[in-house]
Formats: sequence, structure tokens, C-alpha cells
Amino acid sequence: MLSPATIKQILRPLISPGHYDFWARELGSVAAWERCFARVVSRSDESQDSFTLHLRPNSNRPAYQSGQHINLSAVVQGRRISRSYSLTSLPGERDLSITLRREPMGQMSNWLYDNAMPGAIVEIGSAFGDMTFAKAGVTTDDNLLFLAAGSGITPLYGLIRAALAGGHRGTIKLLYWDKTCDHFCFGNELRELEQHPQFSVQRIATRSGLENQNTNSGRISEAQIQVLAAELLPSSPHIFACGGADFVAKARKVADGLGQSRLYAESFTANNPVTDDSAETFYQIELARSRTSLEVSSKTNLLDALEAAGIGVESGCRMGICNTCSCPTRQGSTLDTSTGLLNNGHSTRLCISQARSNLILDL
Amino acid sequence: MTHSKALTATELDEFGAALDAIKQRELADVGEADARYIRRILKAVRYSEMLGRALLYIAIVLPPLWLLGAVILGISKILENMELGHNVMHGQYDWMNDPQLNGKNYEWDIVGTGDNWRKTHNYEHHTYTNIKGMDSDVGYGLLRLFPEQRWRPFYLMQPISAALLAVLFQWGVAIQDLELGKVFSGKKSKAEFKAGVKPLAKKVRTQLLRDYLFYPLLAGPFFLTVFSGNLIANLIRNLWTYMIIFCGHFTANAQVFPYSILENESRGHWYLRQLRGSSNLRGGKLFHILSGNLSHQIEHHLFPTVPARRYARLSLEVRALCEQYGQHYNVGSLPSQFSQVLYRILRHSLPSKPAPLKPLTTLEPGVAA
Repeated sequence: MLSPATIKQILRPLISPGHYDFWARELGSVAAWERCFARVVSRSDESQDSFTLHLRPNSNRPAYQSGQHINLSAVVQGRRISRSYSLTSLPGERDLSITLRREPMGQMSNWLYDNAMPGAIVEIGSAFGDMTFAKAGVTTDDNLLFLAAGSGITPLYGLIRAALAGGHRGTIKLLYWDKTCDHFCFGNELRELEQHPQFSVQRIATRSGLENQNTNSGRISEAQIQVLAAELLPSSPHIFACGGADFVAKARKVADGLGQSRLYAESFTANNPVTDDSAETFYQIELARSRTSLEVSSKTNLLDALEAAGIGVESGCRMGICNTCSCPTRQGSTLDTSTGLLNNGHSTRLCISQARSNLILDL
Repeated sequence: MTHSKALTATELDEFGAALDAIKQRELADVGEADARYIRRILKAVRYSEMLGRALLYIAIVLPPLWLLGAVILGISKILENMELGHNVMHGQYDWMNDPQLNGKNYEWDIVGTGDNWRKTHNYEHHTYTNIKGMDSDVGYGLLRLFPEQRWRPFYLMQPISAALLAVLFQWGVAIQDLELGKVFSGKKSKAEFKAGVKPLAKKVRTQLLRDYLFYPLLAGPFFLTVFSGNLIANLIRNLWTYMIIFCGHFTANAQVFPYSILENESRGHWYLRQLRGSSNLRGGKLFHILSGNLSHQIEHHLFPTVPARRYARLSLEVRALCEQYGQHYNVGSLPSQFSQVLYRILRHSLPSKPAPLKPLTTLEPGVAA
């Protein structure tokens, strides 16, 4: 068999990357010139509303570290949409694993729930995220405290797996909050990991009382953590927290209260709240490539705002027809003033768009 | 000549608002059906290309298939350039977020680069449609198609230069943005010129090597069979695209405008100018697809970012709107429109005088222009 790299070398003068990807797909392969497509190889239910997908990527698989997430893209009703999911597989494993919760209004999670059966194909972007052992400077003898709320368990589960697989010697404690006992993920996997004497799990159900001896109840609080992680806190462990924005804010407060500065946290919030009233609002725009940011009014077209800030942007007709100023958008929503519709997509025509959330533009 | 009414400011605003409303309605409605359509077009492009190229190799043993292969490959290139590439590069399918169909990066099967096209066509031609000196599509710096263009003896050989441009149309498109005229007259610096040549040279090399060296080499001793097939395919594409594009703006009733008309131009006036400068072709569904729906040049110029598959339906509405506002809706069959183009090419190779420009707008209601 020729390696994909050799095949590409031979084909390079004859066909474009687009041709290559097209014919690979027509022939039933997920191979691609540079994009990473992956096939669902298996799927399992984790809890009442969560499920795990094991994905086998083509040869363009992204390099990643435990604790990072990837953008997963799929075509939903004609549009290619992307969402970030934490990887729970180990970087050395062949397949990528993600666990996700089916959100009632979640376009992607519902699509995946309905369509991501073995054989289905999705696209994988590169990995990103700062909540890694390398960034935290964790060594194998450090004590680690993990605080997970809801789907916040996924990156932390990935980190715990990696630590134990890497022969971590320090104590590892996981405090895991979710609504009810039926919502907890990775039941069997965590039980298996608990075979390691240095690792223990404490589950806390926020909506119900004590349902079994292994489950606590109540929302996150300093007192609760003081009790549940009593034996660990004096050693000032590294704390990793992941959950909704509220949870992470609380975790940070708790950590501060403990005189703890070694906190690494990530929050996921549902979609950016969109305010579309007539009052003027100011939003922060981050220009990813030029590494600058500026504040813009919701009443100004982005092109004007950028130019007023002295940022040169290629532009043309300034009325939304020529597409010259169209700019790749990494995050955020804009209002398309020519249609009055919100644009949550990956490109923005700056001359006819106003910010409706903080934005990250590829400029 | 046209029997279009000059519009009052109020009429013009209403006319513009009605077209804006159509555009917004259509853009709000784009979705799965458009995505399915353009993916099917992409599929048709890829499969027809494969079939055309394969037939050229089969023609080594079955020579009569050579012509069929060349024609199918030519049609494939037409479909790719027109319905796929041109429309995708307008950003009509950007909402799909598909990197393969992204208007910013799309690169088409033609020697000209996508980037040059996005500048000369998307921006200059679509914003300044038929404005003399702004829209280089007015004669492509080579032809005199309107009496408003200054006559020079050079234009006497226009029948020949027009025919050459048709045969080599992809090269005309490729060098359009180099603005050779300005380089020769010193209005454009050598450095600017060189900066423009570099990406173009890269694209030209890729295209030429693919069609005229690597694919023919695969045929071994029958190199010329494939070489000539590819040549014919590119020629078919050149002639067809030339014909369709010229019919879009250079028919008898198409108007050209002076730069001064842009002063304080309103949205409605911009729409009106697009209408007056464009002309449509009548035809069947397949004809419209192979013209990249530029057979609906008027609708394309009014709504360049609306997926082109919608133009046929919109043309009924636009036409009714034109009737309502007393505007001539320029449509004809391909033979009729193209013979008007040929007449223009011949007529204006000789000196000709422009008729005085009748204003598009008036203070008085109901004055015919």
C-alpha cells in the first residue's frame, strides 16, 4: 500500500485538494488532503442524556494534550456548524473520544444524538485549550483536586485518565456535581480508575438528597469543599475546575478563600446572550491574527469601526455585495444590517454587520 | 432604443425599497435546498470532468470518442466556471460555512486567479457596472463597444481583436487586473505590475502543466490525443463564457454611464443603473445552468449575493416591478442578443457619436427617457 503522503505527491500536479477530498469521499474513504475527517466507530450511552462517541480520524489527526478540546463540525440542514468538545481519549490512542450531553436547544448535540451512528462522518479541527498539565506545571508527585460540574467532567476525566496512565503518584481527588444520580457520566470508567489507591471520587447531586452513601448533595460551597477535600487541602493541591460560568466563578472564590492560587479553570457557557434592543451597547472585538482588541458600539458597522480605529481592512463596495471585506469569524454573533438577521456563522461581511456579542475575528 | 421612464426621487426610493425587500426575503430563506443544489452541481462538475478526461484516454483505442470527451470536458469546465465558481466567489454560499464553497478562497479551473476575479469582477464590475473608466469589463481595455468610449484607429481592427479575445477569453480575464494599458502609459509602476504577475504566473503554471503536460503524459505515446482534447475543451469554455458574458452587458439597449453619475448615488439609483446596464437571455433550465444563471444577468446584478438558482423565479417579480415603474426589461434569445453584441463590435470599430445621456431620474413625474 502506498502511504497517503506518496499518493498525494503523485496526484499533486493533476488534481486540487478539493478534487482529492471529493473523490476520497465518493470512494467511501474519509481521507483528505489536509482536513481531518473522522468516522464514528462506536457510541455508548453514558447517562440519561449523555453519550460518548469514539471517532477514528484520517491521517490528518490533530495533535492534542489531555484537557484540551477540539472543534467538531458537521453539516446540519445545509450549514456546516462547529462546536467544541473536550477529548476524553489519551493522546496516544488511535481513536478520539468525546462525551456530550444532549442539550434541549442544542443544534449540534441533537444532530449528533440523531445521526452520529457508527459509520457517520464528522470533521475535526485542531485542538486548543490551556487547561493542561504542561501549562499548570504539574509534576507526578503533586496532589490534584478536580472540581467538575455537569459536562465539565469531560476535560477533567481526560486529565485524570492521563495522570493515572502516566503513573501519577500524588493524591487525586475528584468532586463531581450534577443534577441527579442519573446524570453522572463515566460510572464504570471512574470505578475502574478508583482501583488506583491514590484516586477517589465524590459525587454530589445538586437536586436530590442523599440517595446512596457515595453521593452527597447540595451546590458547590467552600464549606462543602473543606469537608470533602479535607485531607487534601493542607498540601495546597493544584485545583482544576470546569463547569458553567457560575460554577467556575464560585470555584474561583472558594479557591481564593482557601488561600489557593493554583487554580486552572474553564467554563463553557451556552450560546452568547444576544441583546437586540435599540439601546447602544459596547462590545469587545479581538483581532486574532494581529493580536489586538478594540471596543465597538453595537450601532456602528464593523468596517467603519475598524477603520476608525486605524485598522486597515480590505474592502470594496461597502454595501454588502462584493464580499471583499468578508472576514472569517472565530466566535460571536453579528447583526447583518442588510437582512436584519443574526449571523452566528464563520464569516462576516464587515461593512454591513454590527456586533451583537463580543467577537473574535480572524484579522 | 429603450422606452424607460425617468423616475422621480420618490419612485426611485420605492423601486429600491421593493428590490431590497426581495433581496432580504431571499437571503433570509437560504438553506438546505440551496446547499443540496450547489453540492449536486459540484458533483456534476467532478463527474463530468472525470468522464471527459477518461473518454480522451479511451479515444486512444476508439478515436471517435475523442470529440465526445473534449466536449464533455469543455462542458464540465463551463459548469465549474459559471454555475459553481462564479456564484461561489460571489459569496452566495458562504452561509454554508463549507471551506470548499467559500467565496473568499475558491479557486477555479481557469488561468485567471480567483483573487483577481474577486477584485475586477465582484468589486469593480458589480459596484461600478458599466461606468466608463471604472468597470474594466466595458471593452476589457481592448474593445470599443459604446460610442461613449473615445475612438482610436486601433479600434479598426476590432473585428479581429474581438475574435481573438473570444478564443483566448480565459487569458483576457487572467490579465485584466494587470492593467497593461496603464503599465505601458506609465500610470502603473513596474513594481505594482510585478507584484500582480507573481500569483498569476503561479496559477498559469499550475493550469498549463495540468492540461498540457501531466494529463497528456499519462497517455504516453498518445500525448497529442489528450493534449488536443484539453485544448478543444478550454476553447469551448472560452467561446461560451465570452458569448454569455458579452450578452449580459453589451446588447443594443445596454447603457454605459459617466463617472459623474455616481455622485450621491442612492440605493434605488444603483439598482436602476444595474437594470439599465444588464440584459437577460431566454432559454431552458439546462441553458440557464450552463450560463451560470448569467442568463438572468439583471437579477444577478440586482442580487449578486443571492444563490443564483433563485434568479429564474425572481425574474418574474423583477419584470413585473419594471413594468410597474415603466422600466424596460431587456431580455431576448441568445441569437438575438448576441447578434446585437456583434453589431456593436462592428459598428463601434468605426467612429460613432454618443446620444446625449438621458437622466435616469427626473423632478417631474412620468417623463419618458
